[in-house]
Amino acid sequence: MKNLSDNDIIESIKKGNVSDFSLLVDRYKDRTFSLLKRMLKNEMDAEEVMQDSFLKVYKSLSSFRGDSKFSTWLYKISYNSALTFLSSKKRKEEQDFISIDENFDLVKLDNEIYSTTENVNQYILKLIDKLPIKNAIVLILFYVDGFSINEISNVMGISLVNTKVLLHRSRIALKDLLLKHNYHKEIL
Amino acid sequence: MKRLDELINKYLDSDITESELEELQQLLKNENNYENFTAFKAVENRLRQISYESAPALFTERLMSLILKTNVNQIKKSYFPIIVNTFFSLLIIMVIVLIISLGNWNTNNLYVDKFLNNSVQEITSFVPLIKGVIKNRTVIFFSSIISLILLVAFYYTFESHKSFKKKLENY
Repeated sequence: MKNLSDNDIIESIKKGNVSDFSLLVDRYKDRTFSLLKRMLKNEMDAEEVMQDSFLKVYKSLSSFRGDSKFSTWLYKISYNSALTFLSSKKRKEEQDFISIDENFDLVKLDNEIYSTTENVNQYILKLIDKLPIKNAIVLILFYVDGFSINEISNVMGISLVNTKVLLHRSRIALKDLLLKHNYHKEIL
Repeated sequence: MKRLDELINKYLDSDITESELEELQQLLKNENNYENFTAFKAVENRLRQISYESAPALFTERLMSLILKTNVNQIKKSYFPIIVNTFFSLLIIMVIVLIISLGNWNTNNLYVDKFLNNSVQEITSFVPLIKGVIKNRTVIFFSSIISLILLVAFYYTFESHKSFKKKLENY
């Protein structure tokens, strides 16, 4: 079963084998949960939105033609559901949606995190958690999920150019902070 | 530094041209620039090591039971549009029959016309009260046409509402 491609499983579900949907859920639940928790900063909210996203995916499975990867489609739905959730819960803090270049106080954030972390691993993880959502997500999708810039632009609903700009600025911001604390020598 | 960052970003995205690569190689001969490059590599290295968090226990089981429950509800619900569609279709057919029977069509020789007349007579015999009130054939004829238009409009409103609801669910 593990060797089945996403499209094989989807075809099987479309034929009426509803229980095969659990194979897709098992395959993608951890990475979807990680993405949503990073966006919503809360486990319970992440689980609620993840359930909602998988239900949406299930209901729309008949319209999935396989033009894009299933993972891209699932992430797009999850990303949009999380944004809707944030808006509806009125938790759309301005800071969550600005990018590093728009009044985001990276120095203040760095001081807070640097003083409370013991090693470079903790430092990077905390930094990613505190970055503006778009910057954090673009880095996670590119490096952790291995998405191409084209796929990230599809998931986030932004242009290719904006995706590249976002990725480059996020990289440069992290690089500058590692250089500042001489952490790059510890990592390599 | 900006040009260096720009070139390194392009290099990391595998989006660099040959001339840019040569330019980057020249810039990296400088020790500070090279340190900058290693910091970029360190960022990449660390980010690639981030692992996924585990989803809550029994998530799949809970979701699947919800899906199976939804499926049962959908099957139950699916009778509703069939009933509504049948209702609208029957009404539309009845009104069309009424219009045809009330019109001054020169179709006395047609069997269909006789059949329609008989059908209308039979239907109207059940409603003598209505027949008594509405005696004017012109009024009946026009009200039938209006009814037909309204029914068709209602039917399309219902269908568009259904497709809109489906779009919302799929969003």
